[in-house]
Order: sequence, then structure tokens, then C-alpha cells
Amino acid sequence: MTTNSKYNFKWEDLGDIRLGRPNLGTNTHVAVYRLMQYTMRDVLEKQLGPDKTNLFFIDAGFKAGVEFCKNILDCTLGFDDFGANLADKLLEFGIGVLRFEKADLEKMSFLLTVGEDLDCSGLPYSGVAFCDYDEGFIAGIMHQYTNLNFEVKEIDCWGTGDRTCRFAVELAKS
Amino acid sequence: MNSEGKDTFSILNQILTFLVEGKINLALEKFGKMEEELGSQISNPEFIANFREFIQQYHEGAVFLREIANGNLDVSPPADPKRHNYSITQFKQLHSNLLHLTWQTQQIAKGDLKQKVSFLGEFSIGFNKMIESLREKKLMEEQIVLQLDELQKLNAEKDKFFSIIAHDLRNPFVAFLGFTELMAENFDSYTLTEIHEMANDLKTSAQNLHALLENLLEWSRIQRGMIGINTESFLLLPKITEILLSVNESAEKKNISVIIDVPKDLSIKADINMLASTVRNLATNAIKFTPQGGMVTVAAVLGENQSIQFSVSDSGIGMNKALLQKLFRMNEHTSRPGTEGEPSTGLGLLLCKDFVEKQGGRIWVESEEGQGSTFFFTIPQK
Repeated sequence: MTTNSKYNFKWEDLGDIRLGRPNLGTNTHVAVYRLMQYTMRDVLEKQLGPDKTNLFFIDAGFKAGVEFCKNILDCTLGFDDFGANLADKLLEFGIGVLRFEKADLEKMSFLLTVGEDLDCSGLPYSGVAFCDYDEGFIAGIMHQYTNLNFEVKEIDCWGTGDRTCRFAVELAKS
Repeated sequence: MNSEGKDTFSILNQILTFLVEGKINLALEKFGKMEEELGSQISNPEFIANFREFIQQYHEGAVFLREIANGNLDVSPPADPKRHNYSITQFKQLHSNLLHLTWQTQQIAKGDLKQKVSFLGEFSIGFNKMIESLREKKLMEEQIVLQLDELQKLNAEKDKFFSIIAHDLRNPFVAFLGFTELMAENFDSYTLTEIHEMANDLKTSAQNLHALLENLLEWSRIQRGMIGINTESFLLLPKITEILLSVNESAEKKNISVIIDVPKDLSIKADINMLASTVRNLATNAIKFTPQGGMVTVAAVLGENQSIQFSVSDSGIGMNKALLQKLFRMNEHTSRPGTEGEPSTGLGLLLCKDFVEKQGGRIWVESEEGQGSTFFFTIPQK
């Protein structure tokens, strides 16, 4: 991994985890992931304000989604099989339980839920949807698969008192 | 609640009664009037606010369930502005499950039989069994289609076999019988030269019949899976020369030059009998469809991926596109007589294709009408 300011993330930067962690393996406690995400949010919000911080997480999630799709998913599949592939991989990586509620391929409009979401499941009610990173992540995956731009909005979240994250995925207007 | 007056308690009891009886509109109306009439007497506004929200959620929940019961999933679950009502969350979960179930049934309708339902207990078990049963049925259907294809192929082979027996084998026999009858009945009236000519015609006819029977027998053995591959390494040039001895006579009759263009040191690992049959059939065809004075070249080179690539080219009559597309296909009629009426069945090419493919190679042809033809085939060297 380079240390200069022109750093561009590459999948290889994740390293050979199995080689590096022969005993601890690829898994870690969810709390550790959240500790990093929410302390980072804390620092960024104090420095940049909430709006910029949200955009920061959406952009980072988008990049992660693109790379996840490139390196983990099979983009040659038709949409239905791609959806199944995505659900399998989200489960395998412990990201969440993906379910489609609606899929309109003509309008490229989707309603999907992610149960036991890595980012927010179990968080106390705060009145705020937390999953900006997930929004970007889903948008990145969809962009990489379709070469189109999407707007993803989380409409239900543990943070807003729901028990499943629900995302509306629509083609970007511009 | 105890702090409220008796009137308030009585009205709330009426409202609850309306709710229990399912008369939601009356309950809402009564509640509205109660707030108007008893506004100043209500000492605990939080209790009333909670009661109002309860009625509202009860009302929205009832509407939601009514719509769901009528099959309308476009309805929204009750609003929960304070976000602490566990029942409302369950409404949302029910809605989500039903939407997902609907999506799953749409996927199943599109042929995705990997879907599994995981809620509603016994329903899930029954539903998943139904999908499993559909999956088994689909597999059976796919097997039936495969078997049907196989049956159609076998039927085409049978038709081809009978067609050859009925026409291609019968006609030369008729000519053969005709000659023998003529000789038997009129032997004394023929001159020695005429008898010699007839004997030559009989020989040619017998050779053609023999070649056809050989092909028919080999083809029949392939179809019954009786021919296995027996590969060995050998130098190619002497073997090709030996194989082509059998076509020399027919080439000489038409004054056709047969050229062998194979490097002296080129060796091959192949089934000798299969290779001999392939080269002989292709060379026989080339001579058959080349007019007097033409040329046939049999060549072999070391091609791509360590394959030996053979070619049999001629300066003959060539083929049009329609005929080219029919070659190597069992269910197509491709036979046509040679330039001097030599018989042809198309069976030889089917044999060639089977033998080449059994050895992991491929066969193809390039030709233009009036410009001759070149048949290519490869034998991989593993």
C-alpha cells in the first residue's frame, strides 16, 4: 500500500488475509467494524459537518461496491442470477440478508431489504438512518453491473426504529 | 386515567366498544367530539394524545390488514411517528415478507426454481416441496427432451440406413445382375472383346459395391459403439502412400494425377484404421468429382496446437453453398453421381466425421462451384 496522497484503492490492497492471519482467519467481531465506522464518523462530522460526512460515506461505499462487484460477483449473469449471486455473497461475507421486494427491470427500479445489516442492525432508535455507506455500496454494485448511475435511498433502518434496512434503488435522474 | 372524570371514562369506554365492534369510523368520530366537548375537563393531555395515536394506529392497522386480506400489497403499513411500537414493526415485517414472497413467485414463474420460502411455517414447507417437485419435473422434462433428440437421431440414422439399402445398394446390384444375365443368356453371341469389356464393367460394379458395403459395415459398427480407438505412432508418408494405392485404379481410369504432399519425417499418433478410412473416403470422393485429366492432392502438415492438419483437394466440380451446408449431416440428402456417373451415397463423409471426431479432431470443407474442393481435418497430438 502506498503512502502518498495520490492513493487509489485496489482490491489487492486488502492483502492475502488467509496468509497473514493463519490462526485468526478472515473474520472479526462486528463491533470492531462498527467501532471503526462510527469513530470515523464522529471525527469526520466534527471536522466536516454531517452533510459532507454523509457524502464521504456514500462515496466510499460506492467505491467499495464497484470493487466488490468487480472482484467477487459474476457480472456476466443475467439479472435474476446476478441477484441470487449478490444475495449469496452478502451472506457469505456476513454483510446481511438480502431480499428483493420489487424489481422493475424496464424502469430499473428496485426495492430491497437487508436484514441483520452489518452497519446498523441492533442500533438504538435515534430517528436517523445510518446506512449511508450501504447506500453507496449498493449504488456502486449496480453501477458496475449495469454501467448506469443509480440513486439509492435508505427508507427504513434500525436507526429509525425499523428492524430491517429497506433501500429504494432508482436510476439517477441526471 | 383515574384522574379523568367519569364522563371521560364513559366516552372512552364507548370508543373502545366501537373499536372492538370494528366500527372504527364511529370510534374516530366519537373521539373527535369528546375532545371538543371535554377539552377543558381533560387533565392528562399525554394520556389523551396516546389514546389518539392508539386509535389512529389501530385504524391504519385495520385498513392495512383489510387491504392485505384483499390481496393489495401496494398499501403502506401504519405510520409510527414515535418509532417505538413493536406491533407496527411486525406489520412492516409482514408486509416485507409478502412483498418478497410475491417477488419469489415471480422469479419461480420465470423458471428460477432455486427460490426457497422461509416464513409462515407449514406454508413454507408446502411451498418449498412444491418448488422441489417442479424442479424434479423440470429435470425429467429436460431428460425427456434429450432422449427425444437421441431417438430422432437414431431414427434419422435408421432412415439413412434403409435409404442406402433401398437405393444406393440396389441400383448397382441391378446393373450387376443385368450384366450377368446378358452374359449367361447370350455368351455365345458376344465377341471376346465384348466379353472383356463386360467383365471390366462387372469388376467396377463389384468394386463399388464392395466399397459401399465396407463403409456401411463400418458405419453400422460405429453406431453400435463397437469401434474403439486404438492409437499408435507411425510415420505418415509411407502410410498415406499405402492407403492411396487402393484409389490408384479409379484415378488412372480418369487420368487424374494423385499428388502426395507429406513431409518425410512427419509422424503421427492416431488410429491407423480410422485414418485410413478417412483418407481413402476423401480421396475417393475427390477422384469421383474430378473430371478427366484433373488433379487430386493429399497433404499433411504440423498445424496449430500440435495437431496434424490434413487436406484433400481436387480440381473438380466443387459445390454450391446449399450443398456445402448439408454435408456431414445425417438427415440431409447429399448424394450425387460423380463426373462419370460413379455412385455416391454421402455415407463416406459421415464416416470421416465420426472417425475424426472420435480422435478429438474436426473436419471441414472449403469449396466453390466449378473451382474444386478442399476437405480439411485435424488429428490432435496429445
